[in-house]
Amino acid sequence: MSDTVSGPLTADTIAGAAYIVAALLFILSLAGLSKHENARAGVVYGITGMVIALAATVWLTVQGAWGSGHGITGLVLLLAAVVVGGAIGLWRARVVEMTGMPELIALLHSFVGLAAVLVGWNGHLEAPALSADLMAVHHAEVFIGVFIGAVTFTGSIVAFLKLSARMKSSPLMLPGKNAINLGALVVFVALTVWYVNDSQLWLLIVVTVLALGLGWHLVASIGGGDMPVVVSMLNSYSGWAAAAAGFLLNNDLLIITGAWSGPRVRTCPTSCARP
Amino acid sequence: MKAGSVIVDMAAGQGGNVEGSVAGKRVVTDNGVVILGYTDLPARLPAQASQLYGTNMVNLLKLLTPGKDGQLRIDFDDVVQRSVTVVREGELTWPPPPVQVSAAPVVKPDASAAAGSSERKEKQGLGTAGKAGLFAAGIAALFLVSAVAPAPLPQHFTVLMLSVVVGFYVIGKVHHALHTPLMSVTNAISGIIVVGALLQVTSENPVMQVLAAVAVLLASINIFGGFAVTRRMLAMFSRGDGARK
Repeated sequence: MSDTVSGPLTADTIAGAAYIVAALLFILSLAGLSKHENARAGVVYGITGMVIALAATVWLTVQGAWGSGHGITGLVLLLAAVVVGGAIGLWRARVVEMTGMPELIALLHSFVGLAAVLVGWNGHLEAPALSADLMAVHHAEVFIGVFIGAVTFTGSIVAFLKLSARMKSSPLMLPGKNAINLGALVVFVALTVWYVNDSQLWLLIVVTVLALGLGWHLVASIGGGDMPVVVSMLNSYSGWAAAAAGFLLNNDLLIITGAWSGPRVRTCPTSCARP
Repeated sequence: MKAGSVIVDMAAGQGGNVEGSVAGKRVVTDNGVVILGYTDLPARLPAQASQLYGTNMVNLLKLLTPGKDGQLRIDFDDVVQRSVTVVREGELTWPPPPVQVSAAPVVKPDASAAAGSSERKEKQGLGTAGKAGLFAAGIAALFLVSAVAPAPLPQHFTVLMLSVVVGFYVIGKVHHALHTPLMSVTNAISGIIVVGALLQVTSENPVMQVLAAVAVLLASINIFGGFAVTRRMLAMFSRGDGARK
């Protein structure tokens, strides 16, 4: 009898269910934030969703890794990273001035971007056993994820530097800047095709550098006064980076949360300007 | 601030931007600064507007009756009087000649405005056609990709599409004042990328382990920092009692 009950309940199915619940809670969180009365409830929904998603993922990781040497190392690393990262995050959130909020948010976006780049790189290093078709898709996903992540990373860093007046806020005027941006995109597409056919590590390094440069140039060529709009745009990019990682890892929760990014651009530019 | 200064706190209804403002009240501080915390500012506007309009009418009548004896004396050299006259002595005087503010740019705006509007119309036409084209191309691309893509992809596209639509409607209704908290919450939620990194951290490849650990660290800063900052911002909106509108 106990077999019929515990049979279908594997760590994978539990995690999948937890992800669905978490996604619903995230939607409720956004919906809650649309009005003052239930904004706080919205944040609580968001935190609950995040805790559920994290707990399920950690459980999944522990299940898979228990007993093997590298698994234990990984878990120790995981614990240390979460504790240190959480402490830094809480500390920054506590000490930041209200007027410094846009800078902090810009900086946080850069972290999502960098994390997406790292996840993408790991996707390359992992090289799962897949059929030829899926392998091509996998390679394209790695490449696109790294590209979006890297653009978000440097773009957010520049936005942060401009907002905190550590960098001149006047727009950088390179001759033919539109040609530079378009050229970078064209090179990116060409490299993607190349990488899908022949996945070399150096191609991934080239595209990372290219995207880092593009992100830097995109935001550096925008004046400091428009930074709030840029920050909301980068917010959107960081979402797309998460969605790309979701495609890469076959994880619907990442896709769902990343996909909300599109509309953010639409609503923010008019009113996000007011901190 | 100096005594006699007046502060209008337009956010008084949401907790206020000014220390000491009370929703719906006029407060005078100890050193004589007036803080208006009215939450019905739009409703206070009509009386003001009517008064301004009435003042205008009185001044116009004063202008038309220079003798202050109730007799209209219309001076056609006066720009205002000429412009408000439609018919005089059975003769149609409408429309009045354009008001000569300065000599040069009188004729030009007409021509360029006409040209501009027609150009704009053309552009708009192209815009809608272009939009429709782009939309059709996007749908076709989605169809092709979904039809060609191998097994797990179409399912992911379904999820992606539905989420985009849900996000569009959920975020579209957000109150202006809440956009910054919203952005920091979505930012914290973007930290969900930590899930990806967590799944990779127990890999057999030590390089991957280190990269994933760094990613987990960064994403954790994001999650904890994002939610904490949002809570701080919302605490600012509702001072004392959270239930107040």
